[in-house]
Amino acid sequence: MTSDNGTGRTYWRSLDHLEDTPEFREMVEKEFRFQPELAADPISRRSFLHLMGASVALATFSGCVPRRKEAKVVPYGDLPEDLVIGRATYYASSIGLGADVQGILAACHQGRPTKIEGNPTHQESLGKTGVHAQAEILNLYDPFRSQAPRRFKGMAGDKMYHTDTGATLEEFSAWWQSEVLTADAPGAGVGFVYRDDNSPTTRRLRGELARKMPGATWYRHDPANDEQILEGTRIAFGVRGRPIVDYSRPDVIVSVDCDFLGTETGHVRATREFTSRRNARVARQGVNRLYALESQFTVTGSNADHRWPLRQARLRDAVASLAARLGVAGVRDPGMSDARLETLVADLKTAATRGGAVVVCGRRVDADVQALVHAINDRLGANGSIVTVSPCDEFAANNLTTLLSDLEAGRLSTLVTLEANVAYDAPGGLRSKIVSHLGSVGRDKGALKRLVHFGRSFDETAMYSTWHINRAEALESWGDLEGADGRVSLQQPMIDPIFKGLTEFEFLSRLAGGSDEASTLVAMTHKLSTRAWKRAVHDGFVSSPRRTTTARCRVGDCVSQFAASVSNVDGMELVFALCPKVWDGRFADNGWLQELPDPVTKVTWDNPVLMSPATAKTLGTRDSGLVELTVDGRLLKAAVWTVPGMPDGSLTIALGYGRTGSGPVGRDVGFDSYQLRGDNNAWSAPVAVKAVNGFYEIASTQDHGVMMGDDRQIVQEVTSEAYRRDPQTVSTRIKKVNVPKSLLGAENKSLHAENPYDTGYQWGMSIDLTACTGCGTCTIACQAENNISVVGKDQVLIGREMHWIRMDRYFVTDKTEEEYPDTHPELEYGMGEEKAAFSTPDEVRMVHQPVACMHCENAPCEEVCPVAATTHSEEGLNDMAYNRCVGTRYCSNNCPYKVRRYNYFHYSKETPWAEGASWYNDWSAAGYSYEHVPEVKKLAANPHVTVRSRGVMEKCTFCVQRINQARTDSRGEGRRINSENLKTACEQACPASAIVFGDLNDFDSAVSSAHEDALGYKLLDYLNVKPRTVFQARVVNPNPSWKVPS
Amino acid sequence: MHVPVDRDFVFPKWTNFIPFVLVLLALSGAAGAHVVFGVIANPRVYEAGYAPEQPVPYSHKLHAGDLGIDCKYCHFNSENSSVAAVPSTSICMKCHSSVKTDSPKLQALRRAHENDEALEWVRVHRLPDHVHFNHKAHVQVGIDCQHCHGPVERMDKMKVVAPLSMGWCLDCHRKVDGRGSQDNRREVLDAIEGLSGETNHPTLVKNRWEDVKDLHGRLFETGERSLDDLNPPVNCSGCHQ
Repeated sequence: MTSDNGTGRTYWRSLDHLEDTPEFREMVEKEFRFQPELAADPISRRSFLHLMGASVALATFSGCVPRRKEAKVVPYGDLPEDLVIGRATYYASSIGLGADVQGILAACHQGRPTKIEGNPTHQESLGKTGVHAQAEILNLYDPFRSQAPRRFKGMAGDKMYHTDTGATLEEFSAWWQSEVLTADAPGAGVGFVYRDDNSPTTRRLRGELARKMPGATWYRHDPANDEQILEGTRIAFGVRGRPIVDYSRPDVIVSVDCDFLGTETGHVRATREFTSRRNARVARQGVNRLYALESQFTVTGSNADHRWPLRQARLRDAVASLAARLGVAGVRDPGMSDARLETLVADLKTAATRGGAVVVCGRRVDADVQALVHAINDRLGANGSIVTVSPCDEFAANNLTTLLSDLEAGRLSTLVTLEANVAYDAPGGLRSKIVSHLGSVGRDKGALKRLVHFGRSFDETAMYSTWHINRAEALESWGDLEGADGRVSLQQPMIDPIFKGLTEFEFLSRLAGGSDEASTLVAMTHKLSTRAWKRAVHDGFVSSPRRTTTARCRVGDCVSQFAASVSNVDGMELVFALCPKVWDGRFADNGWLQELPDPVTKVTWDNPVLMSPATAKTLGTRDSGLVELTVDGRLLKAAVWTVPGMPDGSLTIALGYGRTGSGPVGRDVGFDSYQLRGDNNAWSAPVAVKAVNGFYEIASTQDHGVMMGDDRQIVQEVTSEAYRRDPQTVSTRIKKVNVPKSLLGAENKSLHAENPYDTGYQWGMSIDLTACTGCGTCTIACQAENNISVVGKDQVLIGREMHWIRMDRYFVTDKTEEEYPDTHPELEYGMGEEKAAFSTPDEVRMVHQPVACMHCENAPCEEVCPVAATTHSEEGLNDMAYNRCVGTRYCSNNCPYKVRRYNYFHYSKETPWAEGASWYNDWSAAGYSYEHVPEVKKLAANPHVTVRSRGVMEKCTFCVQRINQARTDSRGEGRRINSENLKTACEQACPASAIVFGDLNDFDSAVSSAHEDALGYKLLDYLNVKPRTVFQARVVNPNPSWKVPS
Repeated sequence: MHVPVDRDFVFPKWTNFIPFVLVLLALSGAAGAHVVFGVIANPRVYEAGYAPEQPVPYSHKLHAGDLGIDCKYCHFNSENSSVAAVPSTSICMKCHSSVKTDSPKLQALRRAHENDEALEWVRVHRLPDHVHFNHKAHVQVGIDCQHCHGPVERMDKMKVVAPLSMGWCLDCHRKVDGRGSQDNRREVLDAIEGLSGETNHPTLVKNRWEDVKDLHGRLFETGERSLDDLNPPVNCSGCHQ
């Protein structure tokens, strides 16, 4: 158990940690828990020795034969202008996820994009990115995305067979012309299902195709839609659109199930703005205050000063009560009696008269509640200043329910799916019926004769197709994307389409009989002058003002359309969540995202049903137990993961898992929650839950990397109020809990002669815990920059994840250690036993703490390395010479922060998780094997970072490749390194700007001032290892009058 | 009757040779190890001297030596980047579209240029993948190409002259080390001078080294360059990144 002495708070990683169970102790004490290398290795130790003997002999022989293998250098035939071989060239482009559009700069090494940075001039990214943009590199080099058009070949039993290669686009065009286009009434019987990619050019070409084929019907399907937000705006303002909130302005923000720092549209900009009012630099002036009303524990909830766990069905009442008490005319107060409501109302009212206050709503909240929130914001004076509404441009279309009825009525003979994977992500009730209709293709059973599938991979829907056309990825295509605020960003290709895919609008243009180039199609949409076009391509966006509406909020409509009550307030509810990693399932094949621990649950490679510990207890289940969920007669068996702080009776499950038609990485990972989703993509449903027998292992990293030292030293929080009163609060507290001096008799002293490290550059880092939101972008940015391997679920289970910067997450409860019931030694903890009854307190908060190598000046790892593979540089870096490492792992054992990572396998060459997986046979049939990673994956590697081999230790290097390049460059220009030109990958990507890196010897640098800051503290400082990373204590701004009713 | 007991056992005479044989084996093992690691696998032998045939019999002696074309005219990449890069075909064709247009030796080059194909040169200098050497860092402080690549301007066929081993790199890096007090300026300058004096490469162009030393000396006097500029890294991350 961990307690912050003197603050009355307790910090814990998991319930196991809080109760200090034997399992947790084992996790901490046995660093290298499980060593099945020899067992798992097909080569036993004895045969290994045999082989060694033989290879020694061979080596002797090879010493006598010619010197070395001949290697080739292949220069360019004609070197492109301005290209410097060996250095990255940056091009502006953009990446979209629905209406969330981020401007990027892609670093290309000789036409090979290897890393993505934010575009500093782009309004939505402001130089930063989110996890998905960082992981886009892996989407590009995914060897399992579709590599060629495929044509239906014939049936074999019940299975459809397609050509592997050989089908061409020309053949498809000819087929389309003869089979579909020549009908008398153009387009009659043709249906198009699309997922909106928010591209104006695609929209324009959809319109053109619709004019050319007037008989065709169009359907839109996006499982991650913002429909409720758009409808809410329509009720309130008369236009469908999105509210754009400026989070840098309000003093008080109330989030109603709005994960604006995590999964909502525009979360990167929101994080930038929100943390501009919440960081160590502005802490003295006071930070903003965030209240979160939510059922799922989201990233936003984890950053809230006060989090009010409310079941999804209760949010409606809470908003109505807020509206009524804030004086929105005509709203009936549902009479929620909770003291917290009064506190909220009072705080909102006060803030509205000062800096501003705003209530924000997430995409899961019903449209009429959204409208009422608009009315509240009107009352708070936020509309027009903090919130502006941006209408969206839409292509009119039907929904999936209409598609099903059209299919049932036999009105469709040809269906074209455009990136819409209806056989996977359609709501469960519709899906099975739609799929049964798709099944008639090729069997000549029903009315549907032809299915054309256009998509990035040969997925669940493609399996039923007559034709499949492969799509190009964002980094290899021209394009344009319209953001939530109506501004247009441009995409340009970094590389020719690797597998010759088409963009969606190119495909539409071909369907309409056109043959224009992609760039021409985009240029035709925007009709810019050549100069303006060049400028837009260079900048990555078309410079234009935001699209806003001048309409005022119609409070009367908002109130009259509000449905006061809703059924099922008391039963169990199931809430669907967009996964912050694989989203709606489209990123299921991305190993980086799959292995990124969820920001809140720390679960990798899975989507368990989340519930409060008390709910699990009521159901008679526990972590990793199985439950059977039933919604409308549809059944799903899924594993359980408890999250303290969730409201009782509310279950959350992420979408996007349990795919059967993705590539090998995402196949059969997690549970197919679309099965339970209601028609019309409902975000929650009443559910019947039953615990069933069984055990399902979940790879959560929450108890991994427990640091070796006094727990009280690790996380430091201070209230805004206390910090203003006494800026030295944190340092005083740290001194108090430090190891008594008497133990050592004097100040901490090292046994060895200490190097002063005071000349030249001295690198250091600071991490601002106030700003850090825990989103995990740093982890993926680091993974992309430093060629870090993905290890797979089995390896994560035994603590072998390779992330150089991990995101530790602690639950915080405002109780001291003594206030907790004693641990229960009389209970036996074990697989079959129920965990000790522990009711979590009502309000659980969360702290995130990124931890990477601290580059200690007295590094304990260096002392124990028998081969001097890790040593210190004069600039204070803890160096790692990979080729010298022999893999004793002593260093990792001796590291108090547990930041070193060991290559148990040759991950860059082999995929240990491949063997034994359900898809392994398909994979080996495709020519891949356990030892063989497809060539195209190698293109993703950063050429300036060594690819590590098996048996080698690795860890954060402070991005030494960037330091070295900056040093060379600045030397050439005869100046010192400017921290503006030198950023580590994590620092560069962090949307909260929580990480600062720089030269400690430059007293003007941001990192130097952070090291001097009163909030700064070093982890486990008393060990005298002198870490170079300083954490700045988290400043929180709780409302003193907030009382959680018992 | 004599009953043999244990203590009566006497080693046969031939066992006297065992120590000799063991010593002999050990010696020959040591000698073998020396041959393997000290001679055959030694970078001085293993790397230096490598001179493969190239698809086009390009002569550095003719271009750099006789014609006096600057190295960086073709290897301009070395000024800006970690890699010096083999020049693109178009650079050769800048001159050879009008010079020696019908030479049979240039046939491969012309064919590659006309067909827009890549010309595959054989790599001469190669470092292991875990070593990240930076040309720019060396070129911009005035280190001669010849210091590592040898008298290229006298080579008809490109040849490796230096062992390119870690010890060989560090020899230089340690000598030009200007760390510590600012008073050892003289020593540093001497060290630079010493580099050219005791070079392993008898053919190194000596007067060029005088230039380098003079350049640095002048820049120190005017304050344009500080001793920091002469701190080549001697720690691991200098090259292992």
